[in-house]
Amino acid sequence: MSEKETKIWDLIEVEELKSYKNKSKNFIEKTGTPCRSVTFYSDKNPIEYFKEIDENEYKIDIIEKSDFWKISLTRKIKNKNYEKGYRLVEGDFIIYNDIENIWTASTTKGRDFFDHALKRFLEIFSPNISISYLSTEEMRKLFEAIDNEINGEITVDKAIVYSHQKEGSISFETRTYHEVFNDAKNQNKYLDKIKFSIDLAEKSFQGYLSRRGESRYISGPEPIYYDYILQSLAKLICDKGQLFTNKSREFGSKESNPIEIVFKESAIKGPEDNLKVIRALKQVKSSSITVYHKNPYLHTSIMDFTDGSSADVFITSDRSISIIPSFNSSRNSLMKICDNITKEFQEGEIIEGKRNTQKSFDSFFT
Amino acid sequence: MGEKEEYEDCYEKELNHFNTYDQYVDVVSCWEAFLEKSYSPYFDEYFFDRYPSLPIEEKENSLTPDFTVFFNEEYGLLFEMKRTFPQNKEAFDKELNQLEKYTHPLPFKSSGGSRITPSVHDVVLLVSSSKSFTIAKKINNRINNKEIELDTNLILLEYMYSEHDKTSGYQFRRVPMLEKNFQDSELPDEKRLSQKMEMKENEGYENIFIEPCDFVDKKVTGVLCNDKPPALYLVCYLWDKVFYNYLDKKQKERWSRKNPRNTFEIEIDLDNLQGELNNDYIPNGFIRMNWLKNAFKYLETATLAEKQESKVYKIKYRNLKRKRNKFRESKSEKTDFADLSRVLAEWYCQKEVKLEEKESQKEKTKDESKKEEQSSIFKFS
Repeated sequence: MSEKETKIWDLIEVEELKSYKNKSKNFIEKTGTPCRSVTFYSDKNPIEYFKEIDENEYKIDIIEKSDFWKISLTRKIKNKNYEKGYRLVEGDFIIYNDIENIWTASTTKGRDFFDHALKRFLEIFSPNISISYLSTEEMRKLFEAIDNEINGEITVDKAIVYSHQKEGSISFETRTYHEVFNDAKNQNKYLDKIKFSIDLAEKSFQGYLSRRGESRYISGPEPIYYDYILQSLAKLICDKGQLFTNKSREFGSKESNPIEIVFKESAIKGPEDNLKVIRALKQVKSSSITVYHKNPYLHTSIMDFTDGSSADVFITSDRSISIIPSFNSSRNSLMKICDNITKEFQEGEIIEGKRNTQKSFDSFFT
Repeated sequence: MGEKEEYEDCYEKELNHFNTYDQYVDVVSCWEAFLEKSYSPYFDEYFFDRYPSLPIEEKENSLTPDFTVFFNEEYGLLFEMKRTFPQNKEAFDKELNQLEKYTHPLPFKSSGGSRITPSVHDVVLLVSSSKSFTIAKKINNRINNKEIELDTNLILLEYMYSEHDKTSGYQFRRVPMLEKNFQDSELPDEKRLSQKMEMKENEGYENIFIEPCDFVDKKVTGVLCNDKPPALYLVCYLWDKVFYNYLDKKQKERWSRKNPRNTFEIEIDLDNLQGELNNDYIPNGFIRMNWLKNAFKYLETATLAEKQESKVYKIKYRNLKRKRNKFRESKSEKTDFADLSRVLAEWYCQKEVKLEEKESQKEKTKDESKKEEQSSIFKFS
């Protein structure tokens, strides 16, 4: 913990989450350093995974508090360009359980620690711990939920949107969140990050949200962040996580559990779009794809080498992509596949796969 | 042919075989999906046998049509699929003789696992639409001219991938000339193929139309069809879906936590693998040992496997990337994307071409030494 941070608050003395929330507000006000959080899905208490860690790269010290855990984390990043051949990134974070299997890790340590230590640390527990990805529509739902709960106007101060061909644009124009989301939809773009304000009667709140489930508490009353924004985010990630949970096929069984991405009618226009989906899948990190059928319909298989997950991906009509998980298909990997398709190709609604139980005998004939 | 052309030729051949086989897998999956959905609720012992091996009494061999469907003791369907038929008369007749063998009473597999010979079964020949009329005409001529005895209910259906009403899918339709129809009185009245697929006045034949959304789950679970797969096709499946499960806990952790680009050696016993494939990965599967040997020989050529014993191989398993080499700039690689099938074909063909080169070099050396020998004999004589 930095000297500056220690002087203002010492996490050792904080025993309850309520107190942490309150003290973090004071810290943010005094230092201007926001509280950064990442909300994620974990099969069981992440502390159990953390305790098993056997890595020279990370050192951790865990202290159990009344309703959260405080973790001191040090990461040794080796690079010959550093003076000693390495550098240490150290800091404290807390984790606590929101709902069911949804957990939040928060820190006031700063961007370097958050990006290069905390997030990287959580990633090594994949697939047991999985980062969730929110679509533009899901982010809109989140803002609508906050809007319904809080009496104050939500405005967007900064929005980073991308076209599906990767060209990013940043808008600094202050607009209502409805305008920002509508524009993204109308221009066939997706929202990546959003910095926003909520004008309240006494004081305004400032925060930040990304499609990777990351958030920032920049200023304002702490219950807005902890009790509304993080709670709504946790609920959304929980609902979405269910869609990707327990989807693996069982050995010896022919039953599969497909997931479907549904787009607007005639959204998929033909061979060119098949190639776009292939390119989107190829960008899933540490994966390999096999294209079984490229045209006219698309069948690819994707293997995620980080955890051995595999799935078959089909374009089955002009408005749907079907993902059929294989024997090892982790939630984390299925989420990554869907996220890459929605980011690099088009955003669609992700639903449980349909089975054609309703199709009549006569409808097979033309 | 230059080295580069040989390589291109090898690469294209590999991918063509891969694509052709994939279409067979699609067609089988279409029928599995359509027939199961339409008829399995009506017949307790309904069974779609994707990998049939029908024992025949008089010989030790068994018959292996492409797929069979058992409805009940009274009725079954047997399918044979041919993209095309050979031009040569002898080879053509050989194919028909094979079909003739399928017309005799045969023990189909039922859902309970027992073998039951249906009183009646129809033989359906599936051919690609590109040659269907020629094939139908040839078969018809042979039958009419009594050049071949095919006293059976042979139904010829052509298949193609087509668009219909803003959707696309596989279409199957009767081919005129062979007028035989299904003898399917055992099927529910409203679901008789004989009625659905008979010629309607002024309307022609009705077609069966199966969209990808109808059959993809059968393709994923069925994996192959009852014909020997190209080695590349089977290798892709093994690399994608099977080999990872042979890694130990530590190796998996190293990929997950450290570097997913690491290479790990795994030992595979083909007997064990065959058992696992046919029970766990492809339930009711019938992956033959020679299919597996063919696939592992392919990996060996591509330098991704080493033979330890006759049925034991060591695999160098990793996330395979394109190799940088002198073939790198070839046309096929520039225009294509690097999926696993293409990368594996590249690895294989680079070695295959060099092997062939060595072989031809050996032959050349042999010829030269023979010539030398002969000339020396001549000299001494």
